[in-house]
Amino acid sequence: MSILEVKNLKYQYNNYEKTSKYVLDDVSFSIDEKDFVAIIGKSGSGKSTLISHLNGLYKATSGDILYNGSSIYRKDYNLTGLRFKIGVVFQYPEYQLFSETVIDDVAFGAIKKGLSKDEAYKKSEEILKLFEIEQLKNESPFNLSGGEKRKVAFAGIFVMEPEILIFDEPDAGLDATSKTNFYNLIKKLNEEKDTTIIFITHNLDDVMEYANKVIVLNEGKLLKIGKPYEVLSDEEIMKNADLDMPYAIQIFNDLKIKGYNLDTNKLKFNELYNQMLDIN
Amino acid sequence: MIRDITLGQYYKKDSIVHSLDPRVKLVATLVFLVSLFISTNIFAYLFATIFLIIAIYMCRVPFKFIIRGLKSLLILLLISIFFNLFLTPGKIVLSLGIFKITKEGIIIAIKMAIRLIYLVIGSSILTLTTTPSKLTDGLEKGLSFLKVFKVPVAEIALMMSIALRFIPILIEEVDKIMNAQMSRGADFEHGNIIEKAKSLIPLLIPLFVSAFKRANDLAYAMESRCYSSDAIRTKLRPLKYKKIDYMTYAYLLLYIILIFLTRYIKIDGIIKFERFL
Amino acid sequence: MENISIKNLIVDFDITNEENEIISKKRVIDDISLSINEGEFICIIGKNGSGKSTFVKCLNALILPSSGDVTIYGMNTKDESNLINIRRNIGMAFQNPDNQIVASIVEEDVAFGMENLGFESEEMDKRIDESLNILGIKDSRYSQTNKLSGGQKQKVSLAGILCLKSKILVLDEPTSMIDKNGRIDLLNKVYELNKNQKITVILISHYIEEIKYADRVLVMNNGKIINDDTPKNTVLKEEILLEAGIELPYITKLSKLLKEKGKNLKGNEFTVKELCQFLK
Repeated sequence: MSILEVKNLKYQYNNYEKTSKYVLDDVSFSIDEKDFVAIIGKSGSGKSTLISHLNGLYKATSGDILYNGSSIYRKDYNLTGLRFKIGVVFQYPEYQLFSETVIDDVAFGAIKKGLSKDEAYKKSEEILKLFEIEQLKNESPFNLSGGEKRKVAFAGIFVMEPEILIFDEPDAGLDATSKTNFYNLIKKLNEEKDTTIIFITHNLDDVMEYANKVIVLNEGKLLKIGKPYEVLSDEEIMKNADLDMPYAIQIFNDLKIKGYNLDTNKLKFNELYNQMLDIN
Repeated sequence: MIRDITLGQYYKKDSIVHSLDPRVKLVATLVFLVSLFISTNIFAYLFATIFLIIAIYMCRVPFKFIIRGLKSLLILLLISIFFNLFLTPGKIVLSLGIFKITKEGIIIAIKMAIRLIYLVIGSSILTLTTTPSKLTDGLEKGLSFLKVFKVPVAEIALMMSIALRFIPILIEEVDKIMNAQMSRGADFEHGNIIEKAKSLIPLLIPLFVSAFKRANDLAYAMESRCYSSDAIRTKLRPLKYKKIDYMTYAYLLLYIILIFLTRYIKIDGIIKFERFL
Repeated sequence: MENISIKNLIVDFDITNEENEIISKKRVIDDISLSINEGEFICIIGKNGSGKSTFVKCLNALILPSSGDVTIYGMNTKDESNLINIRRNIGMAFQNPDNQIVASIVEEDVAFGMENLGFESEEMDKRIDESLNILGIKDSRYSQTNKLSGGQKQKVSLAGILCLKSKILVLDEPTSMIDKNGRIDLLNKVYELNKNQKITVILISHYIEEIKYADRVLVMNNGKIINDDTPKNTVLKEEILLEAGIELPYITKLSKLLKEKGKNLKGNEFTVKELCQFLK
């Protein structure tokens, strides 16, 4: 069953001009439990606006969003409760830090969720261990390096144990190792705890690597939703969205011209490598 | 609510008001504010209203956009009306328990409301039709006589223009931080005053952190572009009065004279009208 | 001709306690010696906190050396009388355009540097026109800076630097907010300036793909330069890149692995074409 359903979502900023354009224009899609969804599109295509709708921060001009089958726009809907189940991490999450110590900051969301102080701090410590920064728990978040701050900010959302985790460009500003670790961590959550993942990214190679579903947005409209290969190899869609194909598909296409047909279901980095090794 | 603040926002349009010299607009705003506070009777308010309507019409900024700034002032407005209405001694018109509404209270409350509303609309028109840099250029040039007294007019002007430029950026930032904290379960809407004040901490600290970082970055960027407070700067568009500017000055003079004259108008009908209130 | 010369540059930041007393020092730049010639295109890579930004700020005397010397066209940055002349020769653009745009209208912002140097109105007009033209944003000349997209803002801040016609251009991650295609477009413009007008370019980047524009790639880690080599040679040094926390470009990573298994590749390929050649 789909965990999240977006129906004919339209959104426009009220800027008192008649010509005001829709930032989101009739967007519909559904996401199943355990999906790993990538949202791609140029800057200004409406990606960030879209995810701000998914946990009810923005109210759509028209259309509906169903979480587990019930509309989040119902009058008596508990939006704060929803935000613990759908965790959104915005771009530059380090700007949300405010507490005196790292552990206090991470525990903030858990306490707001209703956990007792002991439980919240216990859970926060576990999460810090997950990010390998438990030694920083009593430091002030403002004395940390950029990468560490970002990890603390991530931990502050993870601690609420949401069913759906949403990220806006999570890897911006992370070094190579931290980036790989981060993706491995959410992959593990996705596989072991069935957490649904939605992420916005510019890096289409990462989409090929991690996602099982891709949404392409352009000027507020949804151009296509589907499996990574299906979507990212669609020349017309990619051209309309003004995006370059990921390297895996470029290589696939180049090899096809040369007469080698690779398996389209095996285009993750290691799979591609193995396929290329087998070519003689 | 935060997006409703129109102060310091510029609204791009080609209109006569937009093209006026900023010094003229500054003087006009000042004259208008003064006129509001020396207005004593309905004639004066009538002239002020006409003046405002002409300005609104000529600047071609959508009316809805201009009055957006009022929303954030609503509470202040209500408080002022409340105090004037109930706390002005005088002839009692209506009494509700300990609250007594007096005739004088009603008049003062109405006057205060009009003044506040006109004041906000008037200054909104100034900032909506003048870019921050034009505005500060105008201030700099208009106040340049203060340089004689060692007042760093140019620096203050630059500081103001930068402050104005950063208002929309910081407003957007407040929005972003609010969204981020609300995603962690923060609640800015419910609870009593103490709880609400407490809930602002997660908002203000990140805002300050980011504002300081921005200030630091900006200082580096400005220095890289050869900014130095001792050097004599030139201007891309030096201010120069045009014919329309002199004409506007003339109209302004006419306006303030008219307002002054209203103080001496005593017509029976009007006085009766006041008594009726 | 040598135009930048750096000798044993060391920068220490003071760590202060709450009473503003210096309690310790943190070494941010650790003994860098380097010389850069006119017309070179240098790319600096390294993870956040490796000292890249501090290093380039030493070039135009925004940060002064704790010890050692930085000399630009024979002018030492320590000598305050050289300040304006040094900054006239080095145009520097930073990462976040919101934090460097001073004015609210595009042309006013572009003019800021020229106003500081006392240019005449006509000359400013001409140069604004030129620099906006080079970057292809002539239409935005009278637009409000706040209403522009991130990429356009970055171009505006770059235009404000270009119009000063500095002989050295320092770009601190100038493309971080632009989509891939916009990024390539902007870098091509910079590349043209470098080749046609012999402008020295120093580019800090966190997209390793961008090093292909450079003549020399500097890799920084912990305040030290741990590599100074051509792009093709740099990507072959996997250990150095690993140490610096930099991910290899997708293609290069693949080619390196295939080479290890005996495929006919060099291991430093950048493009799909180069990579797929071994299957001819």
